Amino acid sequence: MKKLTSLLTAALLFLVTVIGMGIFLNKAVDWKTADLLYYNGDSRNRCFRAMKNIFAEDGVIPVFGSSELSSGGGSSFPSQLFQEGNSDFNMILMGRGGTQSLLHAIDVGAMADHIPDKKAVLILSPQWFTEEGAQPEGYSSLFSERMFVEFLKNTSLPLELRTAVSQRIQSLLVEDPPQLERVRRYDAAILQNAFDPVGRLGQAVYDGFLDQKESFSLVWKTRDLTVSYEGEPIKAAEIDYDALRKFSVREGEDACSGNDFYIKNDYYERLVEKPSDLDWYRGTWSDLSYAVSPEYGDLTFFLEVCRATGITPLLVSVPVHGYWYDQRSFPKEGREAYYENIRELCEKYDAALADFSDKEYEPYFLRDIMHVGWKGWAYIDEAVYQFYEQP
Amino acid sequence: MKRFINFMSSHKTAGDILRGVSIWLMLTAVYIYLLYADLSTAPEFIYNQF
Repeated sequence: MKKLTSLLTAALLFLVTVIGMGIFLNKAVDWKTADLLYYNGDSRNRCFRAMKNIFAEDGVIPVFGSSELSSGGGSSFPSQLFQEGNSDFNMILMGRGGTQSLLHAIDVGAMADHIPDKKAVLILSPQWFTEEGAQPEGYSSLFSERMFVEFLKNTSLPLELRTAVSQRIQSLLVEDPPQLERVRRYDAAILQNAFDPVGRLGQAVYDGFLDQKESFSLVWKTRDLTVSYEGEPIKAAEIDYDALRKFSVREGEDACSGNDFYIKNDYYERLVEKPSDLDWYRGTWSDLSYAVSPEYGDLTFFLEVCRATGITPLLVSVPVHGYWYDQRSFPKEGREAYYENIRELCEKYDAALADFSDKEYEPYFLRDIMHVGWKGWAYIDEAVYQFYEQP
Repeated sequence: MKRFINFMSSHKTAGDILRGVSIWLMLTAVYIYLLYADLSTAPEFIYNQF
């Protein structure tokens, strides 16, 4: 009896604490919404509640991509152009180095019901489409269990599609056995409807904990983040994109003054430490191609998910850096085949395409050998806004 | 202090509840640690931008 009273007291107080903590964290995430529009961090992107709140704001569109979303595009970079949210239109950037088509397919499938106007943008990097495709080393640290569970639970997606995506993810999680094991359990419980009441209860408790942990992580990491822009909000319809491109060129010229490749100075200095390095680079990519890659299958998953959930995608085809790829002798056929594959996929799935493949040699479209730069962002901003405005 | 100890030894239920409170404090500390800790088992991923 003595022990029972102590345990009951502890259990009751703990239950109240957990529930109270959940309510507090949810409120804290809600209060943060306006500050989080351009906070493109894992803690925000994995927090389902935060993303749901953001997508409920007016004038927003999700923009999925990878490392190019980590700033560096000067005045035309979305967070700069739209003043961190002081605008009637905002691009919600989601992704970092390593996040590719499959993870974005899961994100779209998980959040499909909340994506505003049923429109999503995916910025493609040609470098995803290597012969090996997505690498297991990267995937386990980039993967979000929370989004994956929501994806599996989305019954508007055909069971075959969810199963195929789950199997592909499992093949990429081999470097992280505990996470792989949990994914297998989710798969069995949600997709195969396995009879395991004890396992399901444990899973439900773990899911609840994961929810709180994500909210806690976001609130903690952004505790000092406050966004404040004074003045009239930007009106996206009034932006002069030609003038923005001209200004972007000036920014690019200043940043790339030390080389003939239109590459940002500090990046170039790490790439080419001494002039003879240029000779060494010649021919080193002569046997590469982006024509065949498992990434096409992952991109097809993304398009299939969009189709099944009624989302209209805009794919942004970013070019390779023509001068640098020539220097390393990357065959033109291997580049052209990639651009053509993207065009064909867009046509097949009725996806909109912002095709910038003809800008391989346009200075300052990229800021280095692969990431979108000053002028490139000016082009993409305009394309995304036009897409958003389409009925 | 002496009066408190006397009170606790004469009221067994109050002592049980106090023990419950100390268990709760421990559980809460563990819970907050689990919320804060990096529990990821994924190998470190370093993105190569070159």
